[in-house]
Amino acid sequence: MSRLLLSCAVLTSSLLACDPPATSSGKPNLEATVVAMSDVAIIPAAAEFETSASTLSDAMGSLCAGPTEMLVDDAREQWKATVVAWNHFALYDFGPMSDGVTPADAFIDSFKAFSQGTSYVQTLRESQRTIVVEGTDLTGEDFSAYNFQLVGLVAIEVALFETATEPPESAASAVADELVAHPNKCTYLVKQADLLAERAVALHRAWSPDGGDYRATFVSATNDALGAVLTGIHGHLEYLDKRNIPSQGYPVSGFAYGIVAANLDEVDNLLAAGDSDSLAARLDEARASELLADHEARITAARDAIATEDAEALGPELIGLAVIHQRSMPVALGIELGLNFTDGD
Amino acid sequence: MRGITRRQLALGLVGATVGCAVEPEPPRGEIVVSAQGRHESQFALTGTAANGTIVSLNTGFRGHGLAVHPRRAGVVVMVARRPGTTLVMVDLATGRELVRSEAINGTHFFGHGVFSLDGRRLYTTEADVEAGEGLVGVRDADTLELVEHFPSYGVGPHELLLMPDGDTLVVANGGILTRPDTGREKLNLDTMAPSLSYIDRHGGALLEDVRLEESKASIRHLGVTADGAVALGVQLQREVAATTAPVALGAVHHRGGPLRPLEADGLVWRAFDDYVGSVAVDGRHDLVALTSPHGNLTGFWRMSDGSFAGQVDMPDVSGVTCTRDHHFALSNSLGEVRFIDAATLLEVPARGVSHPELSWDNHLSVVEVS
Repeated sequence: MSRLLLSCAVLTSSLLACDPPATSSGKPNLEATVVAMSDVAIIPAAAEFETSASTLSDAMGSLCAGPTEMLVDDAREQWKATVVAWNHFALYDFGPMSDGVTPADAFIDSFKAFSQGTSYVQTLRESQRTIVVEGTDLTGEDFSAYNFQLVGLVAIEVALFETATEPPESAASAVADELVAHPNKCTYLVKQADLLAERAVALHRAWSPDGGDYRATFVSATNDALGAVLTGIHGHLEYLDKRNIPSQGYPVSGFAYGIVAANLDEVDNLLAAGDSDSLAARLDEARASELLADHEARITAARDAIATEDAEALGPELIGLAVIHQRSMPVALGIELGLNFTDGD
Repeated sequence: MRGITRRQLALGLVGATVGCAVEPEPPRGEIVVSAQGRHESQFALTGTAANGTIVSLNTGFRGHGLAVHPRRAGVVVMVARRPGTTLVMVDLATGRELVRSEAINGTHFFGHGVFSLDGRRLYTTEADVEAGEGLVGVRDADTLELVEHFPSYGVGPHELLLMPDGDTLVVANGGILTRPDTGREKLNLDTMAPSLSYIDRHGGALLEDVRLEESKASIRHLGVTADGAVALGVQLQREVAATTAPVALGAVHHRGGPLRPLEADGLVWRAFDDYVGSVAVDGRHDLVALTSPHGNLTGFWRMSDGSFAGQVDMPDVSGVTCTRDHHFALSNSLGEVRFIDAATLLEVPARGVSHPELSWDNHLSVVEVS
């Protein structure tokens, strides 16, 4: 298929904003809120993901130095920690995250590409089975050239949480035995984890002055930046619900509810980031206390649904939160999102 | 670095940015025109020329699509957005309103209309509110008064166009029931049945009824080439779709034949986020363009074989039309209009205009003003 990517150049993005709410000094202060979002929430989330992915890479190295059941369990726990870290950062689906024909997030987490409906778990199972059965030598393999379906957190999940046998076994001891018997699967895991760590570094670095300085772009855009964050969160929450992620996502590890919980934790974190400069403070100043109360109630209800793994109860709360971010918050803050995005026909 | 809207942050400037002042003399030549404005006080029919001069008429209601008069240069009709009830005809050469009309009691518009080739009739998609059925309104093109109704052969008709034979209307029946008293709430998602209907404009007979395999794909927007190929764009109601598999959001149809879905990598359809805002075709270059304000991009496909040809990113893009010299014009709510050469699928930055004080609405049309 011929895929011609046309000009992706930047655009002026005046969003015809209304006056943002004034602070007690009478001056709008959304600039400080955007800086707080960047420095207290987004960049720390990128850093957390980088650190966690690096630790996962180390864990994979330790596992493959002498595979044991305990080390498989350790690696699984670190995979979960990395997925949690990723799902803090994954809400910020703009800028470095969305650059390129294939967005970076798809290479980290192909379940984000699942928003089109395709679960790549079976593809990965077959690919890994071939590697084990045929004893494929992966020593010189360049995983960075692989399509997004074959790399990232889901690829590691499938390799780490079950054997490549038919049918797969999920016991840690069975996976450890397989790694001993088939060292090329260990090579696979190490290379996958290393690549993930490299990509986490690149995403974090893109926000720094020596890596593109996206922070400068972000904090100078104020209303557009705020709009991007709110619509990014809206889009992610809607994706969780529309694609049935709580009930259908990450079937191999069974960690889908942990992922949704991580997303909600970050939504909460972002709201409070920056204390007096926080989004919550701005909404409070804008006399949007009912909105904040509704937000809090929905977060609580969503967490209750997660605790009982009740996807049916969780869905409406996710959509309710999504609507708050897409419509209520922008209205309260006096910023306008794209007319056609929010109100097409 | 690209821009920040829903997926990106935009800084910098592309294309010619032209002054925003309204010129006393309306522009001449080829202009692009759209419903425009975010608030009731701003709602207008607005056009911009290549040099950035604009013509704008406040309408007092939010429009959606335009019908361009085939015989009177510079004359267009703007149709109220669903569930509006107003039509207004404007002469862009003078910037003046010519005539205004209302839907009859118990009906409303869906935002689209099209003239007959002889310019004597205007056809509009409408709803019979009580029956919940789709209608095609046949109107006198001078007075805009209703002459008759005939069925659209579906629920929720949206865009309609005239086929090259001049006798056949093609109607996108979106399949979704809404009522004015419940706003834009979708009332029949479980039973929705979208269709593409070919209708004899002279008597309202149904000539052909075409269905997509995916019944939750609401057919909304259309493009027709001079040789009669019909391109369509859909909005998938994912929450009620039986499948979570990728769904093509566009297709091409020839009378009497099967629908051919447009083909693209799953990531392309992912980016569209189940939503196509507008459709435009360029038969000379065998291309159809689909916009997605949800995905901030426009995709291009070859109509003859359905293959993907390229994409261009643009925040909140929705309006698309093809100019006389075969450029696709794209518009967004940030007031930007950008042009893509259909021959090369490369942008023509020098032709672009930006009016940050304006918000182009869903659809864009090309009008020749003499």
